[in-house]
Amino acid sequence: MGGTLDLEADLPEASLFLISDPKKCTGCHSCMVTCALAHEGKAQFSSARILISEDRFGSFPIDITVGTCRQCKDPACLRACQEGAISVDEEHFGARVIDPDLCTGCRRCMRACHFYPSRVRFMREAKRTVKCDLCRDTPHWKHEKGRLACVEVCPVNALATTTEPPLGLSGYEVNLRRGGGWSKLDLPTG
Amino acid sequence: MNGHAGTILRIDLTHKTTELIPTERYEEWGGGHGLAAALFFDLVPDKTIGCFDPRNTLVIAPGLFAGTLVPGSSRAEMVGIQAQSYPQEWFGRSNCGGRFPAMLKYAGYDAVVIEGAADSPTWVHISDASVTFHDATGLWGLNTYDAQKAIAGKIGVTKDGEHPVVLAIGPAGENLSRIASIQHDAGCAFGQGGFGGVWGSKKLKAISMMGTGGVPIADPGGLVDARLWSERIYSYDADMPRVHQWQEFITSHFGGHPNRQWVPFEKSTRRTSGCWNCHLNCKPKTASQLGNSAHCITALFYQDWDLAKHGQVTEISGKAANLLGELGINAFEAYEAVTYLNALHESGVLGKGKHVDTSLPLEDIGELRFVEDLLHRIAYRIEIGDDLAEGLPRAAERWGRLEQDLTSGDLKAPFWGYPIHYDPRTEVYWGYASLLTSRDVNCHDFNVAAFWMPTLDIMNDREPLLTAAEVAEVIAEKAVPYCDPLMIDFSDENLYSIHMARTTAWLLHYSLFWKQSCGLCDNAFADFINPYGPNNRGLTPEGEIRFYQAVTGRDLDFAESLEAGRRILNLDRVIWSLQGRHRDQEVFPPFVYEVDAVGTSYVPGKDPAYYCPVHVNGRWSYKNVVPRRLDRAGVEAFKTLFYELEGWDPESGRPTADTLRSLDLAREAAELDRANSGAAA
Repeated sequence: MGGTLDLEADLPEASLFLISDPKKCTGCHSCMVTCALAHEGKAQFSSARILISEDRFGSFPIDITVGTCRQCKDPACLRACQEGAISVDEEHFGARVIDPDLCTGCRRCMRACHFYPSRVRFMREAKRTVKCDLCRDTPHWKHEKGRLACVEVCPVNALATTTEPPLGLSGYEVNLRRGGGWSKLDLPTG
Repeated sequence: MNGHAGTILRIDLTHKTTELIPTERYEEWGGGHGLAAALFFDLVPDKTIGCFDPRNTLVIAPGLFAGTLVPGSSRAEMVGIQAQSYPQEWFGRSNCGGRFPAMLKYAGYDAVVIEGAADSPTWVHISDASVTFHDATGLWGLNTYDAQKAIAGKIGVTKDGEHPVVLAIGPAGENLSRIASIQHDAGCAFGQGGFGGVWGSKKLKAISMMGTGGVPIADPGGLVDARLWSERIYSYDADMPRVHQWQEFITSHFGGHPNRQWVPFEKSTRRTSGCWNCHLNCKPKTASQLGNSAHCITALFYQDWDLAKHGQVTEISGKAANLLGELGINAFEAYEAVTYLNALHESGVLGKGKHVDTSLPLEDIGELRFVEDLLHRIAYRIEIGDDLAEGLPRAAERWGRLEQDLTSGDLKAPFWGYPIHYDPRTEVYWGYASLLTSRDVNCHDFNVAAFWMPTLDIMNDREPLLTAAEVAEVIAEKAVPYCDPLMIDFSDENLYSIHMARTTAWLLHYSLFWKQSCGLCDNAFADFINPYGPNNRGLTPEGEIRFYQAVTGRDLDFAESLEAGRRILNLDRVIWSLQGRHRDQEVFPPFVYEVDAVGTSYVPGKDPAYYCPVHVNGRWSYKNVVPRRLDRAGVEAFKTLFYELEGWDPESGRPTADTLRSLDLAREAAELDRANSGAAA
């Protein structure tokens, strides 16, 4: 755990970031189920720390949004928590993490998140919130540190990690149609 | 049991009430088809009722793997008395993928039983434990897309960004068409079976659902690892795919990949899209929304006619595909309808002032005007559409053409009135498996090895990926428990043999357990040949077992799984027997015996052909097996072999009491015995 933080001070920046290519995403939701399995041991969407939202009657490319936690430099979720349950784990890529023992389920963090849908999720049965921890606590899935369940499972490599802090919000959504494969499949690369 | 959501939901449309059954009572059947057929058997005392009888009970059951991470597993079965089969409305099945199979499990249900009939249009909403009935008067008349959007609008997107999941019928279903589908999203449907018409008879416009729960998994980490193992070894790499030509055309194996051909008119503004938890993601999704999520027969339905008229596949094909979904019409039936109508028109039988009098603009086949006109006539039962809405055999019967056209082959409906798919005269097991059940079997397990790979490669002057001898080796390795290489021998001499009986039995047993009950997608399983796998071998049977053990925590031998499939087949067979099925009815129409199959040309300028593996004079090779027709006596000999292999009475084709008892189906045996005794008395 990152311990008590001085909220007045700058927080240590994360050193690993989840990025996505929404134009490449297939909407299969495998990332969500894998995330839930790795973290909670159950196949479900409601405890996934990544959110895919798709309108099946929508038009490409605005039909899908890939909701990833940005590991914000100044995380509103952390600032909003009055229990000190959200901290920065400097031992794990500076991930912004929620301590389940301290979380009271008040959902202030959820509401404070700048993004829609909120990247903090409330698990009704457990009555606590969860968020992306860059696969720090995955009791149900053994893996090499730094390998993320969602990235590993994505069948088309529409998710990836980077150690470079993405520039602005658009920096999290990038073109991952690389290697010539997408064009071989006659799918748009631009 | 791990993999189960835990509850079965009974919906009584007549009284607008619900009831719950603990899934553990039916645990032995797994999920999907096995579970649905067992529920139907128990809940429908009189199996001889007609499809539109309010007592007809439909069961929708997601596969055991639906909602889990097993690749290609978000699929569900629907069973009940079907409207489509001819001449009899047999107990039948239909299958649909997309989002809803997983969502239904997340809502807490392993099956939904639809009983009775509403007295006015009704829509049912399932939201976890809450099930509510809604007046659908305002939705009645809407097409399936508009109905889904209207319901989704009423429910609203969740705060997590999840869009509501809806199944709906369109005008074809409302007008009791026997070829009406039940549509889900833009491109998923319960197509075959005519269950859309059955929903219409029950005044059931739609079922919507939202679920926030999950599916318990015995070994979550093992499941993640099994999924990653399957993807990394056996699936395409989206960034560096080694493209093999026949993979572009077909996807009926685990290593298939997104196809170019579904929406060729929209190349640069589309994504490839998938059912939930799919590794393959075979459906296109476009900026224009034309052809959205349409693939296989829905996408191809009008392409040949469009191409012939315009020299290329145009947006008209996408509009035609959308129209099928919107009106809720079975794509296979519509595809064959255009071919059949054109044949009748060209022979001077059908047209304005002709024997089959219609104002349908047949000279415009290939244009949008024709397909719009045709599909609207079918959906709203206008003029000739009133006949076509009954399905082609019943339409031909009304026109006094049935016997003649089933003899000439102008009407290609080789099994229970269903349109031809793969030809029983070439891939004979496909015909047998369809005839011995109650619909076009639509199981592609052997299809790549038997047909697509050799035919596409040879027609394109390429060496097939595997030689015929190597294909036989693969079958001998993987088609447990028979492990018989001659199961893939399509020589004339082998068509009526015990080897082909094993092919047919394996296909049915495997499909009933792994695909239709566990929910694996036919587009990916079984996986015999796979260019990404070691020595071009697919992941069957290792993959299926790994997934099953990770989800359920139970040990399962592959041979045991096939025996479980055999048990489900016998349950189905008991229901058909109770409906009056007899071996004498299991015959192909005359054209199968009297007219040669000629194959198809997949390369411009090449003669039509149909290349299959054959074993002749002790040597394996690929051979063009057309022209070919079947022999009546041979088919009868085959049936006897098959019935004996299954432990069925060769005189009647019905399961024997001993066979049923050996499969722990004593109750079913007793009911069949009572029915047989009653018939004899």
